Amino acid sequence: MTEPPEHIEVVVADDETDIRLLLKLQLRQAGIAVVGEAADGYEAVEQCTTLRPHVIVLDLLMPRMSGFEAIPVLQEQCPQTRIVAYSAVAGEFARTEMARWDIPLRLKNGDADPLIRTIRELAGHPADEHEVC
Amino acid sequence: MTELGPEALDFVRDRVIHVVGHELRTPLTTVRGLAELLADASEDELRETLIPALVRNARRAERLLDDLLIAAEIDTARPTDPASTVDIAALVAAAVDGRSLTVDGEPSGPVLAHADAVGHSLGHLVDNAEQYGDAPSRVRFEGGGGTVVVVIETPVDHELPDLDLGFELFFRGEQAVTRAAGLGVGLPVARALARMDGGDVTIHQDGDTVVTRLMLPSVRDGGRS
Repeated sequence: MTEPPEHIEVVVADDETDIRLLLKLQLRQAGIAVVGEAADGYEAVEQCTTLRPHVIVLDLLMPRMSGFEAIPVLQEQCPQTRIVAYSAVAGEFARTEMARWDIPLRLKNGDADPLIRTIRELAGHPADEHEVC
Repeated sequence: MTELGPEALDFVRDRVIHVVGHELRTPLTTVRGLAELLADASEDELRETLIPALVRNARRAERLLDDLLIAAEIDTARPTDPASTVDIAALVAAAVDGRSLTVDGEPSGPVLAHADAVGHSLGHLVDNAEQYGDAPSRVRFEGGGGTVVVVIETPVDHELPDLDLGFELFFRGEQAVTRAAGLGVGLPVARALARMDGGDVTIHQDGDTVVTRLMLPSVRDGGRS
């Protein structure tokens, strides 16, 4: 089993400024450090290459380079960083693509608990008693 | 108007529901999450960050509903109150405030229009310019012949063959599945609102620049257009 890091470092990639603000505050409240932010796929790759976070929370629909396009680049250039996809709508295309890449997909909503549990799992922390949805 | 068959109607209905769901979720997610954080926030500094963000996202959800209501009556809507003298320079300045666009020059004068409608149209055109531009856009003014034109020049590094289709309600480009694309009402709503005031919106590509024009009747002779 992966040894859990002493603290979890995360990069948040979303083109919506207020979603990044919300995630930063919600994750901080959960004791998770947001060490970088990105507004598109290019910035996501740059941030992960530079900061080497444990996890990236990756919006799928972004301008310039989408999350879908960033995933293979992140997997090649930042293999140490685990990815959780974070999307407003999880349609069939997104579900199929994330299953193919074996990447967890979490739906955007005001309740951050499912996302936080997934981040902890990906970073090597054991999941709590709730099943990740 | 072309009659749609049952399959096409199902397709349009499903797409509209999907896209509206996507576009509503972001502000509602933010409002709920920020409200919960606000309930626990004891620091003034944090409250000062959260409250404007809450208002911003509530307004965004409200604007989305406005768009849908305008879209539902796009060919038949008429203003219920008369047009008035509108400081178009001030509305443009408000629309680009905090955005990447730059404004060059001044308009030849005010326009005769509905300020809310013009602000709403400008909001969509500025959103589009930021969303689809490959570099910051430039806003300038043209005038003459009883018209004031707000010209938005957006640099792009590729050809956009579907520009006119952008005036179709709920049209989204081929890349909408994998990239952020919005609801697909911005251009038709902006045009409908401009036309209600006797103006129009046009868009075309000139080499590596997409040129969007918002035309509105100018005010002359003390308030008559």
